[in-house]
Amino acid sequence: MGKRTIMPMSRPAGAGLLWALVVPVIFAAVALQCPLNSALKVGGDDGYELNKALLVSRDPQAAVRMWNDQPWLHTLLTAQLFKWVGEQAAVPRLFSLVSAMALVVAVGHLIRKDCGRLELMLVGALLLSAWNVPGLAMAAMLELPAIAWAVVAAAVAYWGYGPVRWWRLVLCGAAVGAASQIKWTAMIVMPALVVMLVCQLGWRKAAWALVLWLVGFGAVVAAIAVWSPSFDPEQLFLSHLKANMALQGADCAAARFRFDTVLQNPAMVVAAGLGIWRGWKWVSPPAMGFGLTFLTTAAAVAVAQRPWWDYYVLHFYVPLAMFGAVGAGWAIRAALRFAAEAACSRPKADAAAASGAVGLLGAGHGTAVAVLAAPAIVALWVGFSVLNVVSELAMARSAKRADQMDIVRAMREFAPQTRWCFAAAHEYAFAARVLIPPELVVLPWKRFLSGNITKQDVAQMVMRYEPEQILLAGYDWPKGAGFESWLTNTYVLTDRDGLRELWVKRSLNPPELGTRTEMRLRALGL
Amino acid sequence: MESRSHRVGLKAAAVLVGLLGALKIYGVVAHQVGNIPDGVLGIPTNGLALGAGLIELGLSVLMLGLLSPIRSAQGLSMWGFCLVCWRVAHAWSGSAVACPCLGPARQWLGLSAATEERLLLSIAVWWLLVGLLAWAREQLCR
Repeated sequence: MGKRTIMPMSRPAGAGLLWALVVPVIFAAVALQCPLNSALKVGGDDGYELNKALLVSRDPQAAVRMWNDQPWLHTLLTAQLFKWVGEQAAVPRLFSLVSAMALVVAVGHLIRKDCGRLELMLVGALLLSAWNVPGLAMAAMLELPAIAWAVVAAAVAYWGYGPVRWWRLVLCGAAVGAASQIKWTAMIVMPALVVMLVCQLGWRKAAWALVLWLVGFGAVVAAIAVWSPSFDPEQLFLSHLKANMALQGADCAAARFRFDTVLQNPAMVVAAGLGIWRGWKWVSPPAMGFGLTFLTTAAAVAVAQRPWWDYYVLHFYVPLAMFGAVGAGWAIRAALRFAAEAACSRPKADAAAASGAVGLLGAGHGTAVAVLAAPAIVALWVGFSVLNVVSELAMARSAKRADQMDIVRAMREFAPQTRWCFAAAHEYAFAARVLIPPELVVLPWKRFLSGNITKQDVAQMVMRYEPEQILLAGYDWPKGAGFESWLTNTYVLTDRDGLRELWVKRSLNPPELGTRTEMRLRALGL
Repeated sequence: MESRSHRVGLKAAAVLVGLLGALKIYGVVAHQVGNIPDGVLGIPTNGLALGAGLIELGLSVLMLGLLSPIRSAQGLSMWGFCLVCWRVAHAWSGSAVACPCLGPARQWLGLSAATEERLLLSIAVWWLLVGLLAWAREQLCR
């Protein structure tokens, strides 16, 4: 490696003010434009988290029996907020939005010492417009908050060079601990964090720093474990391992990493490539080490992890946005400088041309690359990322509203007499504010795959609970164990919406499907 | 100061863009006044194609007249612009003729139609920005 040169860069003195203005504006715009409270579902696992929090909030004793393959912190916090502000779907969805903003600020902080205000803006532009991010930032899901607060933790531990500040290390450990208790995937930050600390402090001091870090981490994880209704290693760790092993040999393309998920953001990829190439000269080693290690870890996880869900692409976005901002910032500055320096009045250019050291455009090769790359990055951002934001926001805005759905209204009608409701389409249960039996709140495909539960088990459990409402969703479960005959004998089909069927217990005297349809037509004056 | 190969390459690109523009204009006019069917030579024959042809012809002339070190890049982006015109004209006319340059690339790379659209939009924006850079530099030079 050649001698490192530090690029003179104006320190972003007003960065705090910039964030203080821009971040709330983006936050308010999304929060006001999208139906975060009334949307039936935003994102794949949105319903799981809402139902988990509802159960913990209303019946903490039953929550002990809940099958939950994720740590409890997010659920516990959401449940607590439900008690304070009401059972609003917007609560965890706004938390995701706050987390997305925190992620932008944290990634910006990691390059702040080496870059200017332009780069900080670019971090936000690249990260928030990346494929899947707007959707994840509005969904009550765990991935984005977990990664966001883990990166915030890394930002806390990053101070460039200078004396060790012990409180930062303890705080960093505590924050990673909290992030890991949202979702264990937050631990993906660890190798990058260790490399960053080694670059900042050297091996010996980094070892001591990790001891302090462990104090914060251990204290928070232990506290949350005590607070949690359960801490079952079988559910928290082994269930993931079993699913991974079951899928390793299976020919299931849906569960594998797809490289095109990263290529959905060509602007970020091109800019990140430039950032690694050019930033090598001036980005500080701790930040560079953090980014490169994060990228490598994300790639290793993508290769090894099964199932690899599309939203794991977020792991790549952290380092790519970091390097992307550096690369795009360099290219844009160089291109603007090139435009501002007229060729006809530039003696240096003539001298370079005379000596043969000219690139594609009559300027140096670096400048030539920048002049072509800066418009390319902006163009790819407009062509892909902006359209992506527009389509994801449009999708969220056009999401089904719970209040406007007849089947949800029917479920709410019987909600006061309902102790339990089995809902195969779990988001409907939260929309009607009815509880799903704890063992059946979280029923992902992975659970069936790992052999934790079978369709027959689901049928038997539903029959044991005898829930007041059953919402079937056209899936072929629950089935077997005499479920179909039991259902028709004990329940009345009272509403239907496409493939979804609402069955209500006969003891509640529900109207038959035909009667309800007639009532609706009469209400419409038909 | 630019090398001779740069100049020759640039002129060739300008001529190519100009020819494509002229071909589009010819297709539209021939369709309107003669018995030549729609989509002659695989070129859509509607107002947009006429507009695109005129723009390309104009840009070709402009390109030949420019004396800027950025001209090579501009020449490349002209070609990108031509692709965009082609695609927009096709979308407008509903013609099934695939984009001659990006179509095969799309099939080879396995890109979706949506990705092709996004790529074309990116090329258009790229052209615009490179053109702006060149224009800004020219203005300062005068």
